[in-house]
Amino acid sequence: MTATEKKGTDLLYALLAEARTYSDVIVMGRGDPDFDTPAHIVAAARQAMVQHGADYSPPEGILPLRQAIAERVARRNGITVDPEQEVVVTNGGQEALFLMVVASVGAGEAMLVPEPNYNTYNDSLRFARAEKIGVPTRVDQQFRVDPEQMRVAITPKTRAMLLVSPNNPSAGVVGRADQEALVAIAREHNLTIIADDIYDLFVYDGIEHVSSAAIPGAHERTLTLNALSKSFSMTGWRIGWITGPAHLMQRVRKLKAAVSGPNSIVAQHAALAALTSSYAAVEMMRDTYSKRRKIVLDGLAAMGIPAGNPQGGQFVFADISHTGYNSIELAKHMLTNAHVLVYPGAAFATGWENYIRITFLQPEDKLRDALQRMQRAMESLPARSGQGA
Amino acid sequence: MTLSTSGAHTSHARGALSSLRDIAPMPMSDHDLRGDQPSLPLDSGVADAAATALEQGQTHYVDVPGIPQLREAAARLLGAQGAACQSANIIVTAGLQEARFLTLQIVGDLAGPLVVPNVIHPGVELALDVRELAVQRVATDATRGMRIDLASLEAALQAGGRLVYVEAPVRLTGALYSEAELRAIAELAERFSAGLIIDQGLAVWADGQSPAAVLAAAGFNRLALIGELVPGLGLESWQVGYIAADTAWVPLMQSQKQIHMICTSTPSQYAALAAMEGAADSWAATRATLQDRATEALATAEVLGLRPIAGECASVLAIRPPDAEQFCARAASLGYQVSDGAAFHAPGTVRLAIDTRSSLATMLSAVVEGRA
Ligand SMILES: Cc1ncc(COP(=O)(O)O)c(C=O)c1O
Repeated sequence: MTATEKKGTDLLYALLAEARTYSDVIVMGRGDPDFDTPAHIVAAARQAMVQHGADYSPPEGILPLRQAIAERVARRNGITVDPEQEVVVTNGGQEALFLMVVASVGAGEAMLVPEPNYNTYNDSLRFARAEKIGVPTRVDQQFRVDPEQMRVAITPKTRAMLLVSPNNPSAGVVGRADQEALVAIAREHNLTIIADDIYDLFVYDGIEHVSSAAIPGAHERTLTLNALSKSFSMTGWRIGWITGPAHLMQRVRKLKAAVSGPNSIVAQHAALAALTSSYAAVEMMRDTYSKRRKIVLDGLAAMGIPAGNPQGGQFVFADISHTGYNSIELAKHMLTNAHVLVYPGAAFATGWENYIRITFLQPEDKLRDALQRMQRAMESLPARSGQGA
Repeated sequence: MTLSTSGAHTSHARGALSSLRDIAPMPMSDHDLRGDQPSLPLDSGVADAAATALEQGQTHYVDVPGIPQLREAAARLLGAQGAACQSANIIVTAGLQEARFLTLQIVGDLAGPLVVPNVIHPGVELALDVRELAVQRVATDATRGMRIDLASLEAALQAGGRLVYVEAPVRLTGALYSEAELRAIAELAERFSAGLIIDQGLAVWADGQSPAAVLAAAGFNRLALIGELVPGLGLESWQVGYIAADTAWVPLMQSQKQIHMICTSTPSQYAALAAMEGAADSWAATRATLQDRATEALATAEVLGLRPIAGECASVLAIRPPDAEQFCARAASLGYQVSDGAAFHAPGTVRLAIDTRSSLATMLSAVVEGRA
């Protein structure tokens, strides 16, 4: 199978594999921050290896870390949880989302999924033998999750509603009024809310991040994930978590024990150090991403590629329909001719063939270089009639 | 496994690491006898290798099936133990439980129905419970350390079972399958075109050929071997396991691993890589120490009327005390934590970990005689 014939996550991995064959490639595909993990966290890990390397951890994670997580979500998200019963440490946001999906929907049941969306939710639903009910969002509405559209999509089999805010890949953010309306709908239809807050610290232009679980009446039905991967540049360590009400977390805890047992003790201590020390590095990274985001948006504008006004995340989702090429063709063209890896929208959901996702997880000079290369590649693209800019 | 033909790699062991290694003191309980693997102090060089990798920027996502160097080292190690295996067959997992989950849920769904022994580690039941799967139970023989009863296995295969889960050695008792038994299992599997999942994580603590070697010699390929990658080297809580599987099964498990984890924690992988240097020598030294302890504990258990179940594996001792509940309660009152066989579906049995640090025989006497 060639890269262009693959789908979803497999397609992204195939492109990543091709990208690795170019020594001068600039990767603006995968969501892996270019910053290494801050030095004080690495130093804490070195120490923990000796002091705690043989400590026992229960499958849900060591209590001091769960306490630090409870404190973090209380302070940053307004979510109140009991660290004993309502926090489970996971191998990154990825394991968290998998466990949340499997805990909430079973065979033949369904989950509402605003689209476009991070693929792994679809993959996890497939594992659970459950169905996705896709609810499209629109670039001209800043990818807003429209509560009324979510409501009309509910079927008798629907058990859960997914809210990723800021969203990957669209960068759309669910505002407070919409969160309230969505929580009300979830209560009306007895749905579990699966909230993915992994980009909560990355919102721009004064936009407020609102966690679903912090909305009054939401806690009892909301599972929320977060992770240190994106915020502290700790993608390799695999630390994330789920918080939620005890009655839902009981199942999550059992699933965690079944899928992988406890997380690495060293990674847990590194996470504890991250959560209990200064956030200065996170703030530096957020400011940096904010500047880079502008560079990317300006570069795309110069190419005549509309990208809306993304409110959060670490990427932009750009509309390439005017080129006349679909996203896989364009991503391949960029990779082969510009040695720049961007992800095709087609990999995120059907209906997004005219979009590409571009991360800004590269230093400014590389981003500028990549955008120049992309511009040249765009100019060399044989003309096709597009669908209008 | 669809594998290389050569199984005879030389060990890459470099210099023996003593079984009790030089490192700063770590809080470890001498009274927790529930461990699946003996816990030994971590070599300071191993911790240093992991920390250095982090300091050099190895803090990012890595390949889903593991860092290439570790997959190669794992393939070499299994090769040295007699398995025919290449790095493409290896998936590094975040501990043994993830290996159980991936093989049971993914290969089980693909190549099942599963056949699972009725006495089995609780981690297996947990993994089976994640999502509905077709599972048949096969009888185990209490007089043979809870090894699978071969007649019952044949019946399960005749009834449609197509993927057999075997703990070799048995996690509850440490009982080892003989070469003849393993060959018989492979022949049955072959006859019914069935596959095998072999948890051989305890095999390093028993003398004799590894299950992998026996199956490789028998030319049996439809196979997934799983286990802890570096047991007994102080990395138990770092969570590193492996799957060495038929190449036909690897892509699906790799896909699933991407879905639920992306990759195994990088510091754990770099630590495991460093720990594998000299691991074989370290295991041999530890095994010798454990064997002395095991022999002593077995004799004491006999004398005390605790009805030990003899197993070849030096890291565990299973007993059937006249009143298991009372035994567990007395052990607890003296501060000992033991594994209740009921969790393995073997009520009345108690599993005790044998460690290099303390004498199990002393513990048994103390519990029976009710003294601290
Ligand atoms: C929306 C979303 N959720 C979860 C994850 C998983 O992240 P990780 O497992 O690296 O913490 C990602 C990664 O890209 C993501 O974009």
